[in-house]
Amino acid sequence: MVRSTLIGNEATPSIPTQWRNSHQKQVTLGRSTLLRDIYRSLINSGRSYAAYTERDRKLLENLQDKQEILDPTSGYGLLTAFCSKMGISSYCVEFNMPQFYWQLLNNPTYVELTKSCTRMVLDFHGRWPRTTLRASFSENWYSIEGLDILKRIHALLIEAANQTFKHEDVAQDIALALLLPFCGRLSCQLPGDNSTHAKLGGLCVLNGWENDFYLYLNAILQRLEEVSVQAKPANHVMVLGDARTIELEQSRFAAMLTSPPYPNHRDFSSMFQPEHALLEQLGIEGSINSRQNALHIIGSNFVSGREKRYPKSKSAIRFLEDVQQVKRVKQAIYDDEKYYLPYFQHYFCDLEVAYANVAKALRPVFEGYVIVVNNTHRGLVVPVSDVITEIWLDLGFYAETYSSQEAFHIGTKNPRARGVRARHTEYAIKIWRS
Amino acid sequence: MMNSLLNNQRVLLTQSGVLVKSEQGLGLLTYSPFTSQIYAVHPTEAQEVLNWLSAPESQPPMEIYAKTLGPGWAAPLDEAKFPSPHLLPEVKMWSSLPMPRQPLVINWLITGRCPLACRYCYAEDLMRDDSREPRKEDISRIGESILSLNPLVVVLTGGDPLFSPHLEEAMQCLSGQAGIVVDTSGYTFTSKHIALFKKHRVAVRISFDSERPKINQYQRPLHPPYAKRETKNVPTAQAAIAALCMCLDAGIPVTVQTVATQKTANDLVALGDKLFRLGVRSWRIFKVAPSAARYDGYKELVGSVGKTKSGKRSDGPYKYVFQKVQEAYSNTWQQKMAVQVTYNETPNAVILVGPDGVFYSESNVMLGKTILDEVNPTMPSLDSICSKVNMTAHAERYLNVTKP
Repeated sequence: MVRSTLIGNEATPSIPTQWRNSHQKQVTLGRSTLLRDIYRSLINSGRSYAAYTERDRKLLENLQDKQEILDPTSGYGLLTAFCSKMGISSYCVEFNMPQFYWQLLNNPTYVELTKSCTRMVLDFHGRWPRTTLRASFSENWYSIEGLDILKRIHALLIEAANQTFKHEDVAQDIALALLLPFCGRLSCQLPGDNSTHAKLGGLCVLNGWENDFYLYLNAILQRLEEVSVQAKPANHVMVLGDARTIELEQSRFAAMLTSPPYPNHRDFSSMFQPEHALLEQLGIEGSINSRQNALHIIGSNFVSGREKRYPKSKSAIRFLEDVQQVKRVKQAIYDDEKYYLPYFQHYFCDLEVAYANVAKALRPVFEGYVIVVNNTHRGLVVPVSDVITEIWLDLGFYAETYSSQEAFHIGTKNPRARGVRARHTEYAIKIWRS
Repeated sequence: MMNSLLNNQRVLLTQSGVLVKSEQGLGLLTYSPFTSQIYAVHPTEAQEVLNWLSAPESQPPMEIYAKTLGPGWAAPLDEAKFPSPHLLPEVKMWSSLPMPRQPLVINWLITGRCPLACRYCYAEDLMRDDSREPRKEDISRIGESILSLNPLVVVLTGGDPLFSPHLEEAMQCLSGQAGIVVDTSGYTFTSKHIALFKKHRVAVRISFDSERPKINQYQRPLHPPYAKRETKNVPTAQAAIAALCMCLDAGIPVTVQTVATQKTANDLVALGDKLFRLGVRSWRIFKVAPSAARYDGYKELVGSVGKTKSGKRSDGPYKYVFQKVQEAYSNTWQQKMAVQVTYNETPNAVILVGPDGVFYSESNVMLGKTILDEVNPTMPSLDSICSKVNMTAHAERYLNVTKP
């Protein structure tokens, strides 16, 4: 039997034997834990497919002398992880609540307290909810029984967080941050055909959920340990907000490293539907569980019912015109008119609005990088990099391609795509003002 | 005595509770009522394994036997291993699979009544005809006829055998002489069935295609006249899971049977993960097969398999998904869950006995049932069976020798 290096026997005196037996030194959450793939990937490796790479991290070296780096569309918060290792402060804005809470869970500023809170929840295992049911069933995201267990876990998490954190608001947030990655385990969803999405309705396996929760908490501790070991002193701010509307302090930031959602038909709110549904069930404001929600996330693929918008960027307008000139079958024309063209229009408009809003918070002397990937539609390259360059030029900044490289199958919907459909070019666009 | 058993090809209930029969070339065929798995033991090891099964206090000749044939009596069920194919001690000892002379498994449709009307049902042409329903006195006659062929396992199927008033008689007739498996939708499953199954060491196979209620209901809808009578209208998926949990809680060996169609194929791996965690130890996946009884339903469910517009052959979702299932089995499930993928591509591999006692095989090439012995349809000779049934495919099917 190998015990964890993180949790001693003294700290968990009555962990059932079979749990300890299954507890390896290096906790890796396997598929059989039934946690959602996206969170398993984040917990096991610290990143998901939509995250900065090591190559992007090198861009930070150009910004080392800056005091604080802004990411207005910060996703899973990998900027903070990079900045933390380099001792640079970061300021991250994220609109999608599950992603925001993942950032918060990994915030180096709170990491020691979050670890204590996690250990306390492990110590509470005698009070974890019990069930004699093997499984429950629902056509919704949660069965009555699964939701009941999650609510009880949430109450325990709040209790532990309140004892650990001084501020009640932070405690509430950390409790949610610890709950969300696990909630898929007790949901009635199954992975979508588009692997990052989830299908509604199905079986919730209650059998052995405690074992998975135990493994999950230990894996979180392991992740936090990595965050803690690598952290250098710096301040990391994480704000739940929309880059298009957030009121940032004027002229605060001298540097930015960011990457917007890509127009690859992956909808970040849909990716986290089970988590949003739980947030709604818990009465947390700001969850995006409704298709009708007016505040669509950038890159949302819900277009029906939305007011028509027209981007100002010439590159965007040209691309939209070019799509209509492509020889297409009747179905493709219909699909473009009803879905793809409005989708791209909203996407480009959202970028224009977001960057115009963010620009107000940038200092007169400023340097930043935007990382984007141009993928394709109907054999045409979607000119995201050109549009972004043009937006920043229009905002009175200098902007140019700093580096580019060919990539394949970055976020593509069809992994079997070949030729131009599989071609994606990653650009780092430098933006500056002096 | 043991040597004589190896020569006479009759089914023997050993001291361990494992049923065995000798089959020339195939060695020792075993069926464990604890795990509901059939294995073939290579002829060179057959005697030693038989000795061990007959004297449970002795040691198995190799550890793999304890992990495959021993769970439930010589080892805890949790320690079971499920190698695939079901050829022991290891597949490399088998250069080829000899053709059996007697059936391994016979499917007895003891009733044509069923609360469900599955879109792909292969048996609909033998169902819903009250004039064919057996009377109480027919049960022992049909049972004896089946047992005369020395099958290792008899599957009580239908229709839904839980709808048969003669289920217990059929079990009494077979008990101790062959492994008994009940195929059911679980729709009318109750705690009374649990007691009956425990008494006769019955293993249960529950059909469940999709955890998404609407998809399962689409593929496995209620039979309309039954739906009219049924007031609760429980979704068929929910009923199946409830029955499954009852069996697991009662310690009854249970196999989940899933028909893979274009609507369910992509969800198979996720379903497997959940079944695995639910405690299911045996999962059987069938590629949806054409049948004369429900050919329209088959075409709806099979999707693009076969020739496409461009003339190229398409494997539909199966090739990719079954590969993923295989990966998940090798990486995760193998330790605790047997997985059997049945491609249904070789015709005449199964033996069916209709509610009226007539023996058939099902062809998926000619699309229809074939009577195995025109002269003696309710008591076919082994020669007529071997001439109409593809016995090699029959053995491959039940020993999990899958050929994609």
